[in-house]
Formats: sequence, structure tokens, C-alpha cells
Amino acid sequence: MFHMLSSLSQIVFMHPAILAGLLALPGLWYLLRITPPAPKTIFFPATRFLQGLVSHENTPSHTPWWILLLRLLIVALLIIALAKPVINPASSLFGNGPVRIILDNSWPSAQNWETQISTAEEIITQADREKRAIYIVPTTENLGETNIIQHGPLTREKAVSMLRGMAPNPWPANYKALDKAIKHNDTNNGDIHSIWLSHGLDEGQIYETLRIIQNQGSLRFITPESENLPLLLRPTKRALTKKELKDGSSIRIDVDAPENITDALPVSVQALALRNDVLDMRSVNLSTKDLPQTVAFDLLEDLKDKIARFHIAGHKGAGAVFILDDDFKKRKIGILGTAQSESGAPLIDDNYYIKRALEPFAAIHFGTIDALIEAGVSTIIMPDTGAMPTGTLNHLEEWIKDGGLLLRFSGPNLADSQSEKFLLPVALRSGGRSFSGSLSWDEPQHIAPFTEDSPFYGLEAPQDISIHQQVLADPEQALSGKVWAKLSDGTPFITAQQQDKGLLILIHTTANTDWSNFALSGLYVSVLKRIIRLAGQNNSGSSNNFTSLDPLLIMDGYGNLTSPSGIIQPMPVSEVENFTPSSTIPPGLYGNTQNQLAFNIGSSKNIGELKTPSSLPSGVMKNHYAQNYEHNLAPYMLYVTTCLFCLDWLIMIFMVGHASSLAAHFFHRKKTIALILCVFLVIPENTACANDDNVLDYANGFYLAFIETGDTQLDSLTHKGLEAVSQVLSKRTSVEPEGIAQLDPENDVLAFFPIIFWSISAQQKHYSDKAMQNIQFYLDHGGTIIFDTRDQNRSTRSMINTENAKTLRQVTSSLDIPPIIPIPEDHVLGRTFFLLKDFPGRYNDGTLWVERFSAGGRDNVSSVIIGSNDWIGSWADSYGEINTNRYIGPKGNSIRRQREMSLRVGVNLVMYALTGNYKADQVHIPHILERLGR
Amino acid sequence: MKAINSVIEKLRIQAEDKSASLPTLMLRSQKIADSIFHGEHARRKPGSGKDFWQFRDYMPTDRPKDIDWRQSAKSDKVFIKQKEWLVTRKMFFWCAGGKNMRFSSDTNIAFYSKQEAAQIICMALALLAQRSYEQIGVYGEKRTGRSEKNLERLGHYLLERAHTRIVCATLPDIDTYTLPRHGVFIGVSDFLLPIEDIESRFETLAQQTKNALIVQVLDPAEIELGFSGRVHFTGIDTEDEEIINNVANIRESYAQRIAEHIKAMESLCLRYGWHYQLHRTDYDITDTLRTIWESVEKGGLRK
Repeated sequence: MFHMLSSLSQIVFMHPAILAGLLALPGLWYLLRITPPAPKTIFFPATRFLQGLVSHENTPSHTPWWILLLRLLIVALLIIALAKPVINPASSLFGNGPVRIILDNSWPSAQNWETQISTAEEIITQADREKRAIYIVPTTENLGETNIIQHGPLTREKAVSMLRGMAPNPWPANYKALDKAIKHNDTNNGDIHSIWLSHGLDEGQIYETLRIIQNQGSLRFITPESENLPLLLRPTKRALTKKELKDGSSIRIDVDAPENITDALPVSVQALALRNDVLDMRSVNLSTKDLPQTVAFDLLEDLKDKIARFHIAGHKGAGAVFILDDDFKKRKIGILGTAQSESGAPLIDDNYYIKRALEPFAAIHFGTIDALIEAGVSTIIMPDTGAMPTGTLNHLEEWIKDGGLLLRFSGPNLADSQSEKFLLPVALRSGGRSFSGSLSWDEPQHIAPFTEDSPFYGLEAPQDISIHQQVLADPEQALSGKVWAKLSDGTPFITAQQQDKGLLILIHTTANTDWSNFALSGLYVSVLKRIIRLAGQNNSGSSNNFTSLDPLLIMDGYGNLTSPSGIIQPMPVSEVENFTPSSTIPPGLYGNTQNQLAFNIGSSKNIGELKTPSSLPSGVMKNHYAQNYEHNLAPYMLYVTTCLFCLDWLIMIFMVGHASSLAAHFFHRKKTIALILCVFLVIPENTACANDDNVLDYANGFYLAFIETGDTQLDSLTHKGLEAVSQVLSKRTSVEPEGIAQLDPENDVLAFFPIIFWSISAQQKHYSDKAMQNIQFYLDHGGTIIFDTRDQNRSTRSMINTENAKTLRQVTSSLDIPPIIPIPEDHVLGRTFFLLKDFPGRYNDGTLWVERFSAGGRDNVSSVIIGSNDWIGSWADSYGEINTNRYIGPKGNSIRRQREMSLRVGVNLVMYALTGNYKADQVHIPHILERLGR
Repeated sequence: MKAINSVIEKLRIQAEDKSASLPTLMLRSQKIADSIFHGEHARRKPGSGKDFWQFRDYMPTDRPKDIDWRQSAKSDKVFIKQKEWLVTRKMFFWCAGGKNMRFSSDTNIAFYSKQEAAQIICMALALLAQRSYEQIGVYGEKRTGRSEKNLERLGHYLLERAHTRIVCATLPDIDTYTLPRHGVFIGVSDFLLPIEDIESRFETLAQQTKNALIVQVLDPAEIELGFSGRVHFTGIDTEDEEIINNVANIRESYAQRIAEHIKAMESLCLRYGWHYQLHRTDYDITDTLRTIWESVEKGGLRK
């Protein structure tokens, strides 16, 4: 069958016709056989004296067979190499209709993304070779979109660039949208050859899609090898064992995998801190019978707090990352009172119900208010409490205003304490309200459905909850804004109020079953859970911001957290329990700076059991991604051919010059041999070596650098000039340059040099685009280049139309240089080391140009400094003997003086590049000292 | 023309180099000695020499200016002062040329080809001769002389020989030219010809002169056959070809054969009473010249 071929590694010739040349080999054999190696011909005057001296030695009339064989081998290899052998070629595609690539790019695909892409590229190349139309369709919608678009028909270039632009998305595949997208091809007459580059998982109902595809033509389904199937981190579902309960401190996470994964696959889960430091790592061997497998981390408390996420080492993708929020790490909750029931009957104790409800999610502390605040809890839950000492109340109020969350339950004590209206969201009427008591004619009330502005929106209020008794709020104007939940008759059930940064919440019934059966319902747990999540929220801003969560950090397809783009809407609170990653709500961190909720793919209930599409419909060609890809063998064969040729040549030398004079012949030709060896061995490594050495040097020390202009005279002048500046720097400042670097912007890395000089010359060489890009990159990343046109003497007005200025303009035309201005009088460049009013080189009246606004992050250092005073020339003069170059300066300045000034300019330039605005800030030193009271 | 002159100049400088190390003093001191190479060969009878030979009585046939008045004043007789009769030799140089002579087994520039060696030997001998007041001439021409001009002419001749188109110019052409009487023949060549051919030429030459110096110039490769491996040897003639599969095998027998040839050359010269000298191009030319000088001094060319 067709698909069996591709699993074998095979060699195919691209130009098999050339192989016919092999037929000529026997003829070649014959030719080579009858021709003995040619003797050296020597003109010898005494030849006549040699006559009759020929000894009757046994001379080989034929070339030895092994030389023949060698030569035949050389020719054969040459012929084969010309036929362009290719190992593992992209086998020709099925059928002859259009080719459609269905590229899985949902969350599991990051694991094998490169394989998928390279396979897709091969298919595209092959399809292009066969001149077939190319379609590409992903299996997920893009961020913020709801439809999948099928691209095509595409040319090869377009298809490849489209592939390059695609990336795995951190949400599941949308097979419905995919069906819709591929139905566009229904008009074709069933000859589409589809290739599904799968990540290996069936995300829901894949079979329907497969059926549609098969109706349109043939399908090949390529899956990763079983050891490359994607993994998923999930919150653990397994109950704690008794021992674990006792230790109580381990953080656990599940590693889930499809059942078909290689058994006993070693997997390492890392616990990472915020800045990706690995805090701990646990390795397990995934057993296929025991999935998902739980990994437990036993860490110290404070280390545990630092864990920001889990990551499966060596695995990519959003599924292999599990970010944590406070929920996961269990917030500290304080409950006023004691853990042990005083009466010995826990079922009537308020605290017992609260404790049982919150135990799985929170670390619960018991104690007095003072003790709880001391323990650093984020939420304090006060069961029915009456009066409290004023000191404690003040303390508690302070704590709330500082961001604490106080949750109070009602009860007889609260209802009766008439005087105590303190620390309640609403004013209460004294006494409770009883619905179905002996003296009451009211029916017990139910909880009304939560409205959209309630933080509990999305929770379902079961009708079997009945509230017998409640505390009633005094009607007041702002009451409606404080009510989070109501009873069916409209009376408040849960009220809340902000207190500075903190939050006060009152539940108008008891924590136990005295007044209602609320404490027995699942809603009780959900409501408590939502409430404790609100703890620590900075509520100082908008008051009613409990209903949606802003996206803070969004996971990309590789599991990296990035800042969200504007497309992503805040997540409604109702989605929290029911989170499904999608193109509109990607996984990530939601909430605000104080309160963050992590949404992982693994924590979504809608990501079910991981499974592979086990039984594909008949007719689907299934195979794995090939491990080795198309590989051109021709270069290797040519290399071997050349080596053999050299060998043959050496043998010839041995043969012609017999052993006695072997050495002589060898040395006679050693230059040629050395040359050949050079070509083969030395040159490819040579350049790289030199480069690396330099790079190490450059990284280790400070070098003054300049751009090679190709004008050797100018280059050596610049070198000399910089050496002079370097000496002055070493002598007078703490800057000690290690040397001068001459840079070829095309090949050298510029990043090591804080400052680069560039002498402009009309004779300079042309710089390639690559060189200019390199320079642009340097400028964009904090580098400084000083252009010196060195022609102030030739220009009447500053830098307008001289040759060098033209060259400068031409050079910089391809650079993105910010606007420049003549240097302002108070520019820091005049003060970085020496105090300078002007910047003389060999000439004095040239204007110095600097950037108008220095970009942020570069410490106000101008990225370009352009001048025409020929500092280079002046420096170079001061380095060598006094030279009679013309100096044009202010009257009264001797040449010596001006040279000195120019060196000072050099020192200032280097200092400027190195210290940035430090010297500018120094201006403020007196004020700062004054303020410090010195 | 200028170029040729400069080449001659160079050639001369090289030759001067070689001859300068032979002490001129020694040459002068040997002047009186009866040697062909010494220029003024005293004939031991009155003649037109410079040195005093004898006094004799004035005869009426004598010129009055020949009267030695000082001697005559001592007695009553009138004496005539006679000087010794001096003759000079005329030396005719011949140098081989052609492709054979240009052979050199070593491409090193400092290593002379046979041609170069022969030229230098010729020139050096000519210089020696000139300083010894001998007449210098070119074989093939009648003119002789001692002036610089003669040296120059010889230089031209040597150069011309070096670039001769005649393929085989390794023997003097005896048919078209007869050596003047009492002329000394100085011939330089490799003489790599069958000994019979050489003998027939020398026979004729020997009838023309009894004084000759034969210098055989050979490359070391021609003596030792310093090649190896499989070699195709070609000579000047097309039939002159030999393919040797392993030169090392025949090296000894060849060396023997060449030694025999040299020996034959030597004995041939001896037969005619000529001087014979072998020069290897890898040896110092000065040494060869000295050897030539010594053998000549022993009286070889005297007669």
C-alpha cells in the first residue's frame, strides 16, 4: 500500500536518467585497463648511452586492479551524485486533485508543532512539485474569532509563509467550525487529498469531521508516535490518603495522558516560581493503567507560597503548564471561636458547618480576633456574635479597612444586640423575622435567583432551601446597592458593604441549621467559596466590580503568559465554575491585581478524558510523522568523490616515484597537498574560530570600536586616532579601554560596544542591507554611533553639500534615525568629564548634531552624534609625531591647545556613552543633599 | 642590442668572479716560465721582445738607433743591444651549443646548465689568456687580439652559441674552417657522442694544431643518472628514445658506460698530446680552472 512506503527509509533519485551513465562503466574499465600510468618524460642528452641497458625487469603492463576499482568507484559515485539521490523523500501525494492540509493547532498541538510544520512544508513542496492546488485549514479559530477560515488555493510561497504565521492556540479544537470551513470544498468532485496533521488526540466528535472529509476525497491521518502524545496537567481529584491528611502540607497535581501513550514514560513535573526559578521537581513514570497520575510536592510553607505554576519539563504547550492562584494554595481563613464544639454536639455548632464547607479550599484557623489577625488570615468569618470589646472592635475595623474581609452570620445574638450596629453592612432592625413560627403566618422563604449584578450570578439557587428566620435590614436609600442576594419576597439575604479597602458581608441567617437549611445545601459551599475569593480585592475603585474578572495574563499556545490584547473581554463571574477555554476566553490569569484566579486547560471540566482517535474509519490512511525527513545525499557523495580522487592522486605519486624517492616527491608537491587539505579541512572552521575568540575578548573588556570603511588609509587613521583617545582615557580617567576594534558591520556583532566611531569617506565601500540592518539593530538597542564627516574646511555652510556629507546622507538613508538638532548649549555632552563649550577637532566651527528626544531606556544618550570637525584626524595627529595638517580654530589657539581640546572631546564622548544622564543628574546633587538635611 | 650587451656584461662579471680568485700575482710570476699560457713565450733567441737578450757587435746592416751607446762607451767597439724574441699564442675558443647543452637536472637558478658552465669556462680562460698577453680569437674567425674588443666578440660568440638553432652543435665544424697555424684550440662541450664520431673530427683537428685543450662539461645526472621510477627518456633525435620502467635498476650499468666514454675521451686527447679536463656542473668552476691551470703549467701545451 501507498502509506507503507513512507515508513521505510528509502533512497530515491531525482534525476534517474543520469544513472544510465553507469552503463558506461565497463567501457571505462576497458579503457583504464589498457592504459598504463604515463611515465615521466625527461629530455636527456645522454639518452643514446641508455640504449641496450633496459633490464628485463617484470614491468606491470596494466594498472593494478584496485586502482581501477577505485577509479570506477569515483566515476560511479560521481554519476550517482549527479542523479541527486534523496533519502526519505516526501513520497508523491495520493491522487491528483488539490491537496488540503488540516493542521491541528489546538492546545495539545504545541508538543509536536515543529514536526507538524515541517511535515506540512514537505507536503507543500511535494504538492508544488506535482503542480497541485494547496489548501490549509487549522482546527481552531483565531483569538477572538468564532469561525475557522480555510486558506487556499495557495502558491507554495504563500502556503509556507502562512504556515510560518500559524501557532498553536491554547484552546480545544472547534470541529463544528471546521466542518463549516471545509464544506466550501463540497463543490469539488471528490478528488481532494486531505492530510490531517494531528496532535494525536480526539477532541470530541472527530468522526463526523472525518466523514465529511472522506466524502470530499481521500484522507491521510498523521499522528505523533505514542511517546510524543500530549500531556495535560490537571488539579488532582484523588482523595487524600490518611497519611497525606496527617501531613497535610503537600501540594498535589495530576498528570493526565491518553491511554495509548507509551507505558512507563518518564515525566518530570517542575514547580516554578514567578520568575521561572525551579523550586522543586518530581519525576514519575506514567503508568497507562493508572491515569491520571498524581504528583505530590512536599515543600516548606514559604516555598509553597512561591509556587506560581507547574510545568512538565521538556513538554511544550498550554496543557503542560498549570498556573496557580490563591485558591489552589488555600487561603488562610480565620473563624472566630474554637474548633471543638463547646457543647460536644458538633451538629448544632456554627463553626462546624463553616469548617466542613471550607476545609477543601482553605487553611482554616480558629482563635480570637486578635490571634486571627496576628496569623495573617485574609478572611475572618464571624458566626453569630453579639457584643465585642471596643478595643477588639477597633482592631477589627482597622484590619477591614486595610483590606480584610469580614463575613458575619446572623443568629439570635446578633438579632438581639440592639446597640451593636457596628461592623455591619446594613443597619438591622432589632429582633429577627420568623416566617413559619408558631406566631407567624408567613411561609418559609426561598432564595431568589441571583441577579446579574450579584457576585453569585451563575450559581443556581435550589428551591428546596427554605429560610425560616432572618435578620431584617432597616430600609435605607442605599440598601439596594448593598444587597447581593435576596429572598423570594425581596428581603435581603446577603448584604455587603465596602469599608475602605476591605469588605463587610453579612448573611442574614445562621451558619448552622437553626434558622434555615441553607447550611445543608451545596449552595452554602459555593457561596462561601465565592465570598472568600473576594478577600484581598482592592475594592477602593468601582464598587460593583464583583461580577466580572479582567484578563490579567493570557496563556499562549506554548503555555507562556503574555499580556492580553484588547480583544479579550472580561470573564463574567458566571463562567468561573464552568470555565471552558475558547478563543474568546483563553486560559490565563483573570481578576485584578489583588485577587487573581487562574484558569488552566486542565482545570476545565469540559476538557474530558484524553483519548486518541482509536479506530479511524476505513479508507483513512494512517501513519506517524516520519522521524527523518527528506535528505539530499548529493553533497556528501561529491565530498567522498573528491576525497577518493585525492587518494587516487596520492597513490599515483606513490606509484610513479617508487618508495626510494617517495619522500622527495611528497615534499615536492607538499604545497599543493597542503592547499587541498586547507580547502577541505581548515577554511570552513577558520572564520568561525576567529570570530568566537574576538567575541570573547570584546565581551570581557571595553573596546573602542569603529566601522570599517574599506578605505585603508582612513581606517588606519581612525585606528590611530582611537588609540590616542584610548591612551588619554587610561591616563586621565577610570575608563581603560582594552583595545580598538575594527568592525565589519556585515559580519561582526556590534552589541559589545557602547560607542562606535564612523569616519565618513566618499571612497567608502557599499554596505549591504544586512550590514545596515545590523547597524539599525545596534542603534535601536542602546548603541551610540558617532559620525565624523571630517570636512568642515570644505563646507561653507554646515554640512550641506560636501562629498562626505553626501556619503553620510546616503549611508543613513537606509537607517531609521530619530530627528536631530544642533547640540543645545546645556547638553550633557559638554559636561560628562571636561567642561567644554565647543567641540573642536581639526576644525572648530562645525555644528554637532544630536538626537532631539532620546528614546526611553537609553538613559538620554543620543543614538547618533554627527559632526564634521575631524576629531579623528586631530587625535591621530596627537598620537604620532607632530604633523603639519591644517588646523582651523579660534584665533589664539595654538595647534597644541586645539589638539588637547579635541582629545577632551573624545574623552567626553566616551564618558557620555558610558554614563548617560548621570552627569546631568549630578546638577541636582546640592538640592538632594540639602533635602537629606546634610 | 642593449639587452645583449647587458647580458654579455653579466656573463663577464660572472667570469671575472671566477678568474679573480686565481691570483693574478701567480700568473705574473709565471710569466717568464715557458708556458703557452703565459703569454710572452721567450724563444731563447734575439727577437722583438722587451727583455734584454745579448749585446753583439754592430754590423753595417743594423739600424743606428739600435746601438747601445752606454755599452759601446765602455770599449772601443760599438755594441748593439738585442732583445729576446717573443711570440704570443693565438687561442681559438670553441663552445658547444644547442638543446643538449641547455640541459640541467636541477631547476635551481644557482645551478648552471652545461651551457652556462661552458660559457663561463670559456670566458674565464679567455680572461686569463688576455692577462697573460695571449691573443684571443673565436674559432671560425681569423681575427685575434688582446683588447677588450676581442673579449667582447668572444662574449657575443658564446651567447650566440648558446642560442644556436643547430640542434647538434656539440662538435667543432672542421669542414668549413681551418685553424690558423700555431693556433691553440680550446674546445668546451659535453661530447656526448659516439666516440668514433669524435675521433674522426679530432683526427682532422690534430693535423691543424698540436696544442689544444678539451673541456668536457657534464651534468651530474648524466654521470650518475639521478632519476627514479618509470621514465621516458628522449634525446635530440626522434629515434633517440628509451623507456625505462625502473631507472634505479640500470643506474650502475649506465654509470659504467659513461665512465668508459669519459675514459675514451681522455685517452683520445692524450693520444694527440692535448689537455683534457672533465667538468661537472655541480662542481665549482674555479676548481676546474685551477686544475686546468696546473696541468697546463706542468707543460702540457708547451712546444
